[in-house]
Amino acid sequence: MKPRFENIARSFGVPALMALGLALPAWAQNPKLDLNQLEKLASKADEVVDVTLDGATLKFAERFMESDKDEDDAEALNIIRKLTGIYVKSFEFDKQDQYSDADVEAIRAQLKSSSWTRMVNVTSRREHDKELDEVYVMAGPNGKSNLGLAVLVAEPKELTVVNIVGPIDADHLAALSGEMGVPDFEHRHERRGGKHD
Amino acid sequence: MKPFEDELHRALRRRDPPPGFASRVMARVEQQAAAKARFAWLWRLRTRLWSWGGEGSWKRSAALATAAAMLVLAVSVVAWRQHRLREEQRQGELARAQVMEALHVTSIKLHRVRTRVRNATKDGGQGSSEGRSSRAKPEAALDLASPILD
Repeated sequence: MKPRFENIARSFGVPALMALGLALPAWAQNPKLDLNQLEKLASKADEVVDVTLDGATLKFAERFMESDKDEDDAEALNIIRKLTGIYVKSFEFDKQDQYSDADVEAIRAQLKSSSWTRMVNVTSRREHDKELDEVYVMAGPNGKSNLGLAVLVAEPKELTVVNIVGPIDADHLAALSGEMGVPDFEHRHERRGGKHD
Repeated sequence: MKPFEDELHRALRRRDPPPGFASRVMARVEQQAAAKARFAWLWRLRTRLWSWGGEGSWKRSAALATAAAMLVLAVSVVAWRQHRLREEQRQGELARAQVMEALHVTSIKLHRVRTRVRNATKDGGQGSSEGRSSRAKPEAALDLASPILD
């Protein structure tokens, strides 16, 4: 009976362990952050921006924007083409201390894994002006491509987390941050009559 | 009574038709016959359908019901397609708005981070542009950070 059990364990256990061994690094390399713990802040916030665009929705938006042939969409199309997800959670509060350090740490803990590299860290520890700006990049296995980007901005009355999943290059980031003379989305939004923070 | 009789006699007296009356009547008759012949097939079809299976027959009722059902089906298909197109358009607009909103927020925050990095570098403050200092970091990450750090 025992040898039979050993045979079964060998037949199924070894492949299962191998599959687990292959799956773990893949999971560790997942650039999608879990932002669910921030949901509770929505009830306290004065203004909430919550955007969840998974791969399928992004592809749908891409097809729609391509068929619509709006010139203003060209740059956005260029950026989203290779992405598989964009997740944004931004909360604006009317008074300070509406979110806790634990809320911020819950996000930072995920970014502390070896897959993420912190590229920018700006902190201000002045008494009434505690601010934290961080930009993280997840590099691909070869180190020459990247798999995702995370931006964490914490201000006294505002908390924003942006998680971009998929390859995003320096040109796209430059366009996003309004570099290289490329009209940035901030100004475009203003032109279209949108809000500005 | 005499004047009345005279008047009646005058009104009922035989009068010859104007010249060409007979030929005009015959032409009109031929014209109507030709028009009837042109649509005779429709008339025959209608008569055949109407008399198919006799008065009140199930065949005629079934044929009428099938025709009505097909009409309703065709109208429904067209309406459903229109509705689906409108729904796709609405969802596409929504997805585009979400993309633009997400990129807008990302843009604002990256712009802000870039400005703060510049200010911190200028002031020699607490900002750290870690990408520059550590060469051990992946090449792609350093490239990616350059628009913010430069």
